[in-house]
Amino acid sequence: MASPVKIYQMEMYNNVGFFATWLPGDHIEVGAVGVMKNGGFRQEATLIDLGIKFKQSEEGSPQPLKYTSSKGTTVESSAGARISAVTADIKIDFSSEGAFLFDALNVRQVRIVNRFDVTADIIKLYEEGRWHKEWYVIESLHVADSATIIVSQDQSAGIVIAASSELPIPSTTLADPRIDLSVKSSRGKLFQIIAGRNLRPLYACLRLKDGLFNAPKVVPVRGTVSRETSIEMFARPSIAELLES
Amino acid sequence: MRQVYFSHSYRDRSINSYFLDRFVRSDFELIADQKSSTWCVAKLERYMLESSGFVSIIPRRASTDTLGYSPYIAHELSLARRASVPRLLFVDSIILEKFRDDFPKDAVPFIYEEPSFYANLHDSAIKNFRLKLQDSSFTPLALRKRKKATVIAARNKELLQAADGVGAMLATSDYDVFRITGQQLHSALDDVRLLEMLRDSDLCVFVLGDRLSYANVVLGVAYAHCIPSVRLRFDRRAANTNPDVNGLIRWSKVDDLLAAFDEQFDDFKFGMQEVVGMAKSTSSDDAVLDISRSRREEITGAFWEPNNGDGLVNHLSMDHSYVEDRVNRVKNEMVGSLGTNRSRANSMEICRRLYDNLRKRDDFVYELEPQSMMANSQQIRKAQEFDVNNSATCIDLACLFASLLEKAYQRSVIVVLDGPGFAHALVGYWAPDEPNEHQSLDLGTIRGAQMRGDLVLFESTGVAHSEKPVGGETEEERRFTDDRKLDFSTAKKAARVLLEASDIRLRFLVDLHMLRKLPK
Repeated sequence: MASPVKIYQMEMYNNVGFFATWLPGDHIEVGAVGVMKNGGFRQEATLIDLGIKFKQSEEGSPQPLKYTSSKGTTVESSAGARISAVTADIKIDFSSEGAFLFDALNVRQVRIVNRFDVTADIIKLYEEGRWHKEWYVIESLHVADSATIIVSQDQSAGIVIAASSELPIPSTTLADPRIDLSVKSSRGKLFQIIAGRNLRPLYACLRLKDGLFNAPKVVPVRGTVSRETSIEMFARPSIAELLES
Repeated sequence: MRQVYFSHSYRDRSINSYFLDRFVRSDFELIADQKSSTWCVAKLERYMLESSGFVSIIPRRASTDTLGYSPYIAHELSLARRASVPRLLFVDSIILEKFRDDFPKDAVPFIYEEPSFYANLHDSAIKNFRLKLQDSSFTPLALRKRKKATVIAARNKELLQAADGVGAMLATSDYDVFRITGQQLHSALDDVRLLEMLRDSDLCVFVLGDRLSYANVVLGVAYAHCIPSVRLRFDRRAANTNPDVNGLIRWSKVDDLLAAFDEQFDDFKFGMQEVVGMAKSTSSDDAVLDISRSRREEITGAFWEPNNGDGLVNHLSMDHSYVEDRVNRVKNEMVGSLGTNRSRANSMEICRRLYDNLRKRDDFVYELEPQSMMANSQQIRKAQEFDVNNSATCIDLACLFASLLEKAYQRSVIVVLDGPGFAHALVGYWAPDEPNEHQSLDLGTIRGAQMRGDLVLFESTGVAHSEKPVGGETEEERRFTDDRKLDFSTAKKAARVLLEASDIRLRFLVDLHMLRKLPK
């Protein structure tokens, strides 16, 4: 049976197509270089350390991201439908291992925009023996101003979060920084980040593709634009690579 | 009740259904031509002559640039006026206002968005039309001698050879074939027997040269009398043998002429459908849907087994002139090479322009696939069929866009999704700086790629008129424009909405760019 963390990572990947950072509070940046180990990204260097310049995109427009596991999660608020409430208890029950709640606010995407240049430079480093074949490079990630992430590590677990604010409390908001959130009680084994600030909960990466230099290399005859074909020597890893690492 | 010809636009089903309901209540016998890829004016002329009346529903056909109505309906109306058939026209009030001189004074308006607003006026017009038909002295030529055809050819060796071929095809279908050539043509205006021969024919076929001749004079006589005629004119520059809206077919090779005539003759022999009877046995909505569905075409080898994603590569039309023309247009607009600028912005601009050009210049209608006798397979229309038949499903348009994108040096993909009770195709492309190799192509990968902008998907049927949502768009988004199409941003949003739906499953993603490179 898959571990709770794997279930969380698998379901988040199915929902958004990004790898979920584990632990979710780990700080990673675009341009980080490292390996996959025990279901997480372990940084070993950065592109800058390796002398590769990259351009990072402007942060995309902020949006909320909210997911719960496909089964085993129920959320109830004592505020109910009353939007005028200024205090409320939010009760979250989990009835299976890996059941989770992911609630993030002002999530913005950043990415490397000059991929052709970066991938060409990586190929050059590899040819010089300075790039490890098993390395991954983080080329895109989501930055969240505030997020609550709770993953159940027991068959049955639960948490009650007390929310208070001078503003009306929407019934299920768990990431709004204007609301004071504190754990009132909990049961069972849980991983939890409550209203964590400035998180990087999701990322995407690239790596050199398998059998890269075994295949015959025929570069199209078309001038110097062939440099852009360096991207063809890279692969987008599957979620299985992360989970089985 | 005598039979009345029902002229309508296949795409405007709700309007057609509204009026058909009213004719059902008045017990009319309306005949209509089931949709097909062949535009056969001779057949329309024949049924116009054999009908006691003519009813036409004329809605707007709006594009972003112009407001107008179908030229095919306009031609049917012109045939009815030439044949002096009693008529009843219901015309979109905006069209009637804008093109007042195109219509007789007795045309009855309707409001496209709310046709029942003038329901009393419509019922009264139908009632009066019924009375008019009862009192009319108009006698349809229903007792025309059947199976008689006349072939008229100008005097020229190649034209006579073509006329021989046409005559042989008619004879094979048990037609008595008469030929008018040479000296007989010179007395066209004086010899009343010639006129009688034309009028006595079930079908006349004119094989014309590129210069005016006496054969054209005879054609004028036939035209004035609305005698069913196929017009085949030699034109050495003819790129294809598709008939124009007046029914004229241009040809440059005898073989092409014979193929074109064969298609016309097949359609000519195909009967009309009686729609009021169909509506009575089911419903007006069903009858309208049936009549607007393309009838079963000859099996063309365009069949596809819907689980075979890789098989879609055989349905690309990259080398067809239709695709080349659309891509060249974008190339001219962008003033430069399409392939060398490999930025994301450039790819998006190419895609947006291809989309916008199709949306504005091509008159597509969302339609179900042609009916077929082949189990577990679906016919995919290719580019050559879009030139003559403007209807398409999501997979037809997805293949068309994939062809256009590939031709424009983009890496096209088609995604087929399964939802509760439906399957739907989206089309798009990989960003130029996204690796070709994905360790897995599951729904999560596709969602993530789309979120990062590594994969751009859009709703291909956004370029086609549809009165109802086809994919992830809302009813309001479909109704936002008069032409019931989607702008490019909405088409992308519709794809995203569908892709993010919780009850969607991925059937397959086909990377057509990679598949094209595989050895056969």
